[in-house]
Amino acid sequence: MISFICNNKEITEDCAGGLPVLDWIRSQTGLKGTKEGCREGDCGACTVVVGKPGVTGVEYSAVCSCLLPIGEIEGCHLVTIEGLTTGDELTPFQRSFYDEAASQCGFCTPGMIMSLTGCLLGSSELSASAAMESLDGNICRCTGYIAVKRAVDRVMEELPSNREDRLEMLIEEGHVPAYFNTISERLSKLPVHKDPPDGTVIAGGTDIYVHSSDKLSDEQPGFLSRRDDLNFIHRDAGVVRIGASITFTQLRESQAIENIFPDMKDFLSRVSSTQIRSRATVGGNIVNASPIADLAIVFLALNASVTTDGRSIPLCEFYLGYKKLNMKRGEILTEVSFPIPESGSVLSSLKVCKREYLDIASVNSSMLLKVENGVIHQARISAGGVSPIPLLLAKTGEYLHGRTVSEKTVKDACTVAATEISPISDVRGSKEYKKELLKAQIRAHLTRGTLE
Amino acid sequence: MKHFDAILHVKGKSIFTADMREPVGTLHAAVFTSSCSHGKVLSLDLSRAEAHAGVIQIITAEDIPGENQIGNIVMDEPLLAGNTVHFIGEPVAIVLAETRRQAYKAMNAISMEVEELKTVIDPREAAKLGDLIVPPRTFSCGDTETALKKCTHVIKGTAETGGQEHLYLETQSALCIPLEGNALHITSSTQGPSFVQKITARVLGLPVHLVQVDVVRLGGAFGGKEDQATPWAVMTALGAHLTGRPVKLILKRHEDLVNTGKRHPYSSDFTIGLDENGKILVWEVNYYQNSGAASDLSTAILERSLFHCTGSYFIPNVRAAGYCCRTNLAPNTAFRGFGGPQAMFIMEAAIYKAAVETGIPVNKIQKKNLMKPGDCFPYGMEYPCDEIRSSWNLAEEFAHVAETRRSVYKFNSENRYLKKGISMMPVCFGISFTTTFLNQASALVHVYTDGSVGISTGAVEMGQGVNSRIRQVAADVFSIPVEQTRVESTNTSRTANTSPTAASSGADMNGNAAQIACKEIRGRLLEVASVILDCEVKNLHLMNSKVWNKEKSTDISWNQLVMKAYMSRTDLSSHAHYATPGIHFNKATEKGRPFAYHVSGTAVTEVTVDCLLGTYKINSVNIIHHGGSQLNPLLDRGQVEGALLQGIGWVTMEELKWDSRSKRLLADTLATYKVPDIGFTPDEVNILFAEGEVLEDGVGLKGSKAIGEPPFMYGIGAWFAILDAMRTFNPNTSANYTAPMTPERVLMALTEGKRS
Repeated sequence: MISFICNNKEITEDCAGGLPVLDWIRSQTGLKGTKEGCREGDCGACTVVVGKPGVTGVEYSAVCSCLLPIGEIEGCHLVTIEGLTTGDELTPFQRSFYDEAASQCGFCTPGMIMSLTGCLLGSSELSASAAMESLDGNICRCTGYIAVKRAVDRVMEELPSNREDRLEMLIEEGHVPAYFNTISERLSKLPVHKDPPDGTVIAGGTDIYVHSSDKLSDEQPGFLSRRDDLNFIHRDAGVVRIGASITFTQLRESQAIENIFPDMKDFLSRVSSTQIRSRATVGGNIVNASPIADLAIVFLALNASVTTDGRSIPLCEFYLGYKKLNMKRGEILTEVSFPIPESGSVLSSLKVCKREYLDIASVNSSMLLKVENGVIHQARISAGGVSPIPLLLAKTGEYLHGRTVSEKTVKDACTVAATEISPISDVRGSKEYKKELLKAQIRAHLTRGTLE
Repeated sequence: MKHFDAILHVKGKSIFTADMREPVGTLHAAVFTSSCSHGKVLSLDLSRAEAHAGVIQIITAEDIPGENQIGNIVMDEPLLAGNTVHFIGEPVAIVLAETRRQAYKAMNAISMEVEELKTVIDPREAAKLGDLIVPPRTFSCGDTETALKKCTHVIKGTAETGGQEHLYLETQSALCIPLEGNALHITSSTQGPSFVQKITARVLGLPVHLVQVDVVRLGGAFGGKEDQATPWAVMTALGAHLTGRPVKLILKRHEDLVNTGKRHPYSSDFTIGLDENGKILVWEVNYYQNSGAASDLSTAILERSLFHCTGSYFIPNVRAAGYCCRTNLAPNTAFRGFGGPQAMFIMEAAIYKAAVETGIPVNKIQKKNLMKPGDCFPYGMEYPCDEIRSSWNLAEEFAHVAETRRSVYKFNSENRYLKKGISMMPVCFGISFTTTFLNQASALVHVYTDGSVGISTGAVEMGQGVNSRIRQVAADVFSIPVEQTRVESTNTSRTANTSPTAASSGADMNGNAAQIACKEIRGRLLEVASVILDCEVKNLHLMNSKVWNKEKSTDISWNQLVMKAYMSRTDLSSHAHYATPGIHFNKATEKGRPFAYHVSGTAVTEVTVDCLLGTYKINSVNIIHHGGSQLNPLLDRGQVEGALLQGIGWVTMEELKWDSRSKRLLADTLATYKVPDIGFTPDEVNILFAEGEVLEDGVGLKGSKAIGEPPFMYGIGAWFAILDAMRTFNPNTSANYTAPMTPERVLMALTEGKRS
């Protein structure tokens, strides 16, 4: 049994916790505004807003309902496009989308409106750029997004600047109906079931739901999001420890992380989309073992270790082969930790793909570099897409140690790196391209801002 | 003026096929398709699937009561494969079950044994084997052989353009409800309801009048639902006919990507000859079109490539030949531009190559050869206006081209790896179906006794806003608020023998038909008014929902007039037919006047390329577009913007790749096939709509010009702007005149000759 509030209505549903929320929504009369576009989190047509009871009230974020198990919204507020108004009125975004013809065929529109509303309800800052960024997971094939930008700008210009009572302001401005005020209290009165798990253990589910949605639909998955002990970011004694269930959004918004890596927030904007980042977890990215896992590459350069049920393993020894982990069946990855880089070191992360946002890299790489007076004191480099596993380029790092940054060093580092990699040709590029791209990235890591 | 349909979209209240309330007892279909690109079917084992829970029936070719044939122009495509499979994704069997999940579970339990046959996916290889869908066609004018001898410069080359997935957000979908006496009602997401109707009747062996096809709206189409919505709709009809129960079929995204055809990839050879000043004297081109496994619309698409073989340029001696090459890919199909973009890319590539080899600046060659009034296209039609040159000149001013060039030069000299590039892309696109008989439409208009108006036409609303334009036309004829009008679903029982909504012509033709019908009713209403007012009908007109006598408003309101007319037993309905005037084409001579008019404009594109990493950003696109006298500027702008980004997508990131061994499509999910997202949108897109040619009455819609396809080709400019930037870094590269210009192609071209 699962209880939640859908729009303005308390729901108790007898269904498996693994059922995708999209399938539940689509089965309801009168809730056809949420569309199925791709079922892989790549189009955003099924975007809904989910509110979870938090310390300061209900915390809302936009998510893809196709990748969201219904068990995850137990005790939450599920908002679909139908929940944004109670009658014929239009919200300001709906009005501006209509006025600017930012909706052509209309199939992607509800998802876009939900992403934008999720941003208003949940984003740390309210600005045109934040609103625009919230659409990074919404594909529109009709408008070229140009009218969309006009529509968004228009609303954001008129929106009162950051007010303390955000929800009250959004209700006054007509972005959400007044019933939103009652949700916090109503959520606390919902019956709690927490059905015991009998199926797959799921972190964010943003990858497994792409390929195993059907199987999971009948299961009662074990949700790691219910383990509060995995949700932390600590900085102590020169080490940063990140709990496995920390989401990409949490990581991006962490002040502790930003203090150490000022560019991380920007880099993480290139990892999946707003909707996915609010679900996808740090632990998931690592155990999924994709050879181009964006975070695994970053952590390899940071000399991170992972902890699985008490065991600590250096990340560079965690990957044994394609999708093969140094982990026993039933073991759970609980945290990742890394030493805070010594002062003067710079972390540089690069990712090249066909599309800048919401795409998987052809090659990505990270380099932790410390250069003093032109001499490299520390270089630790990792790369994805060039081997069956997220790869630490140990020899390249070793080679660089103690060298001066010069044209020759760049070239020789590339030559060493070429001996460490074994890219294959696939849909993300030919192996020749991947070799060339890694060389270009090594050059960029070493020279951007120095040789140029 | 608005896109009226969007008021429902923004609230999520619009109903697409998948959103329709299913009648109790509806079955769900899942389609089993070939996973072999070419092979002889040895056995098909349905037994395990049939044993699955909820399965009602599994339909194969043998169960088809009529003809197993869905071909349109050429009869070469079965609905369900029989003894041979011709491409991966070719439908073989339809599983009908109580729920969608049950249908898919059972479908996955079907097994098929196939003996593999030789697979060809390269059009040139198919041409070599003689596997052409129809004999080659050649358009020519002048005498290229003699003229070549007079050329100072003769440049030969090849160019390649990739395919393109439509990626309409709504996948192919249909719902069929059986009615009494073998009749069927099909809701289909199709651009061509009459085509669905005709093919359903053929496959079921029924007369056409037993099949009613209804279309409310499509969640995007772009040509991908012109012919290719048909099989899925026919399958629901077949299922409903055989079981007597409603059948619903919604393709999953992955299935839609694999099973349906795309924009045709072209491989082309060219010879371009110029005099010493850069005047183009000769253009010879061979198009090898990758048609896929069945003809679909390939022959018509190739024909349009031939029509647009010279792009926006006047060339006196032309020989253009086209080959529809049969390959083992899903049958390729219509996509915005319909063969035009391919031809224009190749023309521009040849000019670029000529510029590189002669040292004459590319823009100088382009500008020198733009069509002038009175110039003839190779197919014999005269270009009547000066919109191409005027858009070029206006664009130079609008985009401050001279100044931009200087700033680009400065930027490039100051940056080692970041390089900017700029291009100008003139577009001239012919409006009308090149198949002349398709240029007809009809409308049925009812005025109800409360004064509200219902309009049915053959036009299908797919986001382009055709319904809004038609409502505007009707509201204008009756001089009533647009809110009093409604465009009904497109329904074959109300509007018969419709042409597909395609070729940018939907609003022109259906809008004109609606206008004729409305005027007919208006005439009758004014007759009624003249009796009431006892005055001459020629003095009466309608304005602001009132009857006016000369310059004075009378007491008779629109609503009163309608009621009076009804009470006096006047017909308040009218059916009208429109046929585009003045068009003809002789296929024997390949000459004629195939187009009602041309749409022209010019785009200026500026990009920045990171020549170290091979990535790029489109900075700005400035466009002069000659759109006639605009009927709905908001819709026009949306069409230009949307088409532009689709065009840019085609020549940049949208890449179809097939596995070299299995010939399986590799870009078969949205994780692997990328289309422009909001982050890719140029920082600046400025569009200036300019009036120009004044169309004759009855051509265009109230003086406005068609807008769906022409702006797509502005996007081609992005490819040449990127090349322009790359050549500042590596002057020897040409990127092999191959589109799309993916970051991979950029990096490999930049490091050409420098790789260790």
